[in-house]
Amino acid sequence: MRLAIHHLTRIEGHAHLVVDADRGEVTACRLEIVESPRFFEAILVGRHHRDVAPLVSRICGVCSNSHTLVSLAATEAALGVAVSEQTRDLRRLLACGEILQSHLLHLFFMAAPDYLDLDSIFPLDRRRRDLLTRALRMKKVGNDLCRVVGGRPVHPVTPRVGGFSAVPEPADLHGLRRRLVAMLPDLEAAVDLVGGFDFPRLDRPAECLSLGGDDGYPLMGDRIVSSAGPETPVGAYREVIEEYLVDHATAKFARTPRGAYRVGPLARTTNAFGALTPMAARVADALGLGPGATNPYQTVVARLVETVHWVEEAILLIDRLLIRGVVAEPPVEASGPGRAVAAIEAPRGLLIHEYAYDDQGRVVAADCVIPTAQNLASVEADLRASVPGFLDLPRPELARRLEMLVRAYDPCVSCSTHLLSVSFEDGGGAG
Amino acid sequence: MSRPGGVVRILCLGNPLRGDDGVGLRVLEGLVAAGLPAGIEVVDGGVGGLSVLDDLAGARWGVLVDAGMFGSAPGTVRRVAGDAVAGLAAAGEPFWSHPDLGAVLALGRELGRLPPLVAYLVQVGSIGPGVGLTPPVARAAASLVPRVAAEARSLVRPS
Repeated sequence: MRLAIHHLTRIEGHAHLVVDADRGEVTACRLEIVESPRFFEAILVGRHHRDVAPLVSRICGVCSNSHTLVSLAATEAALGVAVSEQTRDLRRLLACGEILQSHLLHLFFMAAPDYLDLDSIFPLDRRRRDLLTRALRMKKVGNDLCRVVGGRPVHPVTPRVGGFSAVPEPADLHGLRRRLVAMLPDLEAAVDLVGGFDFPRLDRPAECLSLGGDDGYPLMGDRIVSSAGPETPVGAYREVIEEYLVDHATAKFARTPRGAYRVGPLARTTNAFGALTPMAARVADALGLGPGATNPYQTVVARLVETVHWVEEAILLIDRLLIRGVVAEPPVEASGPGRAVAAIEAPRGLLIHEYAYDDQGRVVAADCVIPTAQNLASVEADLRASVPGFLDLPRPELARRLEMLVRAYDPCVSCSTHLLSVSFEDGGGAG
Repeated sequence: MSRPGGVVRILCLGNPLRGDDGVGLRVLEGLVAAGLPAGIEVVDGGVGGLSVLDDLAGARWGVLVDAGMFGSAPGTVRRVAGDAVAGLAAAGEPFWSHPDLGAVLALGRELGRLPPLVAYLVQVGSIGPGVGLTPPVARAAASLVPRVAAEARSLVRPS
């Protein structure tokens, strides 16, 4: 039996899913990444540090803020630039906004149609149009958080090395706070919605990686935490994460010394369940999500739990900013040489940037480790584990469940194809 | 829905890296350079998508300026008003240069999230990779600047 789904829908980017099975045994299972490679690391070489964050922001239209923030953190660490507490809080708030944007987009527009037996959310039955209204209203809060702090809903323009070129007006922060509080009834409706989803059963324990060292739920930190036990300084990420090439994908795959691993919402709730806000923990409890969750379909639940968490966190961050007062900060001068690694929890998981700068502050080497690329091996392992249990299903239902499984990771395929190593027949090479 | 106290919002759409698809943003530049009176806002709507509903929220009137593909000579301008704007997708016309925009407008109308709309569509010549408009589309953009501004002024103070 061969099941081939060309151009999976409701994911970011382009991928094919191919499964071969013979007498109940899976003989091949591939998530074929067919996006063109994008060579971002090579583009960065020679660029001045001022240009780096705006360039890497373009790796992704969904997580452009995460790329910006981790890029700035890596550059600042490399060039010895310290940032203020206000800058740290504003950056966290910007990250909150992007997580809300991304998670809500996935929950309502990518995942929900699977569980409501629809191809798309647009033709949702008119009696349930309130769901769309609620989804759009909540997503707009995320968009506006990013706009107020970052200057635009995507591809932020205010963050810069050392701080921000413009800071939010107090009135705008007050307005956002009111709207975040007003989101609570919409979040309750989202909990009711997701509580009604019938998740396929799949029990596949996997190693989970997330950030630690931030005294709270993973967002920014200096340690990579593994559910398998060891902790690794972010700067030594190559000791725990090995990227490798496969024949069927233009994206790099990744593994730890123990094999495939998960990053993202389910990995974070696994590693840091106790750091969820009280309301988020109650939502997790109500939806049956615990710290030992092993069903990747439940990543959808973890995404909603995190949405609640970051709404609460955003309110607290705004309170802190307003109490202290937000002031404009002067630009910071920085120069090289230097080399550093930084990491952030992007909506889809652990995102690492590493740069080396010369004495003119220009990039001489760069590496970006993308969450979706880290999850690809785990997606394939989940597919291999799930197919034998689904083989008795009618073919359309089998296909639907496998597509749902891929979508549960909310893969951002175009992000993952950031680099292709090229070997030339004459023995030369280029990265 | 019409908001008595709201503004007239001109939403210019397109991707300037795709040749004539940047016509909406060329019009935006002209409108900004010419200056607009109070009560009229001009917004870069990017390549559309669901954010169009946000961009139009709270407006008394919405004026869309975008590239179109409706089988006419490059640079031809087509004006559509009223329910016909959101109904273009339902009619199955290959009209918008951004295929999801018609569906988003139809959804916005059904959700009651749209102000009354006027749309100006410019037939594209080339939308391949590259910056810059073909001559007929550039001429159309120049002619649209005063026309769109005049229409927006008339909507601020309807006669």
